[in-house]
This record gives sequence, C-alpha cells and structure tokens, in this order.
Amino acid sequence: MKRIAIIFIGILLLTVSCQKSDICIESEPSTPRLVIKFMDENRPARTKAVEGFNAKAKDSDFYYSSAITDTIAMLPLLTTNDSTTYEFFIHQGDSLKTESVTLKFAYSSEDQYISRACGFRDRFENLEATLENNQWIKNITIPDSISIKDEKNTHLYIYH
Amino acid sequence: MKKIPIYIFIISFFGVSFTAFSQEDTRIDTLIYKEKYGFRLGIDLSKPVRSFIDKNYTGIEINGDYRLTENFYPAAELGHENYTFNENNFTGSSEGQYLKLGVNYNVYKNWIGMQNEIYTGLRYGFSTFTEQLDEYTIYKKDHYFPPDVRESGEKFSGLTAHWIEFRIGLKAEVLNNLFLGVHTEVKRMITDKSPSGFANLWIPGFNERYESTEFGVGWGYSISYMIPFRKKDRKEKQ
Repeated sequence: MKRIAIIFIGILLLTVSCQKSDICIESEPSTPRLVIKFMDENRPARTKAVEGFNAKAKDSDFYYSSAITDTIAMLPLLTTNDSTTYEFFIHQGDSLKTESVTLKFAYSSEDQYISRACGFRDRFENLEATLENNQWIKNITIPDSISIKDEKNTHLYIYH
Repeated sequence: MKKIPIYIFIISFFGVSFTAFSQEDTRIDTLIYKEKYGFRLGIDLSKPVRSFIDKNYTGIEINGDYRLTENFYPAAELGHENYTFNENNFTGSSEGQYLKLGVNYNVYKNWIGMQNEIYTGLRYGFSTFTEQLDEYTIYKKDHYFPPDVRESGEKFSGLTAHWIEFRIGLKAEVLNNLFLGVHTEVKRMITDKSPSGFANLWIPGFNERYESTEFGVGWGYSISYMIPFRKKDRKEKQ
C-alpha cells in the first residue's frame, strides 16, 4: 500500500513538472536570402569573381558584410515591403576605381509556419530586378519560375 | 500494515485533518455488510485555482462517476478551457471544450464501512476548440533589417482532437458522502486536426500539444458529493 502511494506521488510530481521546451535549431529553414552568382559576360557559363564587393540597402545605414564571397552574395530581402533596393559597389580594373549600380528587387511574399520553436518565416515569389545608374553590370538573368524558398539555389545571375 | 497513518497521509494532501470516519453500514449479521452505491458529482478544484493564479488560463471542469459494481466506476468529465500561449516568436490562444468518458477501477480494499479508492482509470477524450494567432515575428537568421513583427488576430476554428487517457488517482471520503480526490493523467493523441498554416499548440483537456510526441500529461484534484440511492451487500470472503 505504501509502495502504491509512493509510486503515485512520483508519477504525480513527474507529470506536474514535465515541461518540454523545443529550441529552434540552426538547420531549420528560415526566411531565405537572395542568392546571387557573379558570372563572366564573355564566358557566360563560368563564374567571375568581383573585386571588393559591397552592398548597401537603401533602407539601412550599414553595408551588408556577411555571406559574400568572390562569386556569390546572399542578401536579405525586406519582408515588410514588396521590394528591396540595394546599391552594389565593386572595384573595377587595375586602378581599383569604385563603380556602383542600383538594383531594385521586387517580389511577392508569403508567410509559412515552421514550428512552435521557430514560428513563421517568409518565402518570396515572382522576383523581378531593375537596374539604375549602372556602371558595371552587363546583364542579369533570373531562372524561370524561380521561387525564393531556400538558399540552396541561385536566384539571380549577374554578368560583368 | 498501519492503515490510519496512511489515511491521514492521503487526507493531508488537502491541508485538512479530518479524522471522522463514516459509519453508514447496516449490519445484518456479523459477516454481511451493506455498502453505499450512488452517483457522484463534483468539480475539479485545480482549474479554478489555476484560473485565479495564472493570468493566461481560465478553465472549469465538472466530473461525475457511478458505482456500477464493487470496484468499477464508469466516469466522465466535461470541461471548458482557455489558454494563452507565449512562444518565442509568436503569441496566441486556444479555447474550447472537452468531454472525457471512461471507467475507474478501484484497486484498494477498504475497511468495513470505508469508501475510499485508489484507482486506475481509462478515458476516451474528445475536444472541439478554436485557436487564434495574435502576434508573430518573421524568423530570419540575419539582423540586417529590423525585426518584422506583425499583428494577426487570425482565428482557426473547427479544430478537433481525440485521445486516450490513462489515470491513477486517490479518492477519500472525508465527510459523510463528501469526497476529495487527486489524480494524474498520461495521455496519447489519436488524431488531431491541425489548422492549415498553423499548428495545434494547446488543446483543452489535453494540455500542451508538442510536435515531437503524441503523448501528454495532466493532473487535477477535485471535490465531489455522492447521492446514494441504494445499498448493496458487500461480498466478504471468509
């Protein structure tokens, strides 16, 4: 009898104190960034490194400095708006003069529930890009029917 | 085995120290005793208490059981709950009602004239509820742009859940026909209908609904009153 009471109290305490807490792990998909690859305009199938690439969004006071290598840039898009405008700077040629271009990315976005721990993320569709004050880009292409739902594929190719 | 210290131990759960024992049996001869059989109606006390101390919760539950045979008590619970959840990246609430149907089996052999129970029970639980998403922040790994916090208020209605519940509990008759009980629950979801674009996070009668498991837990303590309508011979083995 005493044993039953003790087992009962044990189970009671366990059920009362049981609290699972999930964490949002790094590998969970989050709102994807725009993945851009820099290609050689003379040999369009090959990537071409950009020198000293910098990007600054019109809505920010700071340069975006992460996720940029010689040939790939991954840039965050605004989820609060249906377009994001960036200025891209590179060092061109032997004199390493800075050249810039303004790119406006337009898209539609959609919420998606991930999990209790992570909450909601956004995905983007119908990407369009327009250029202004262009000093160094020769051409841009967007793969057909691309939807920005992860960072595994390239969403935009820039030829220079 | 000392039974009196165990009774006091059980009753002391509730901070009261009743030592009255009911003496309702009618002795016909020295070997046959009559026990009360009746219908018991009560309320769960843990839910109103939690409603008072937890500003995210309101709830109420009534319960009932009926002594069918010496140890079998068909039982049911009916409740309504409303819970606000605050997760890391969003807030919302869940509100609805539930019904549980099942049976308790008393494993405790009472002294003559006692009506206490240590029981195990099974329930089939069913809930209909509505969830609401209040506010959420778009999850992104970089912090280049400021956080995107959105107000929603979107309601997801017509949600349902079915589960099986296993219980262990105690019930003690502390005054004539008045019982105090405490129990713990382990439950397993059978099916729950998820809203599209969201998830079931908290289900009335089931409590937290985690994605990683089909199981849940719960507990409660209750007070109930018995309306006896017959007496039956207690089968005494010699």
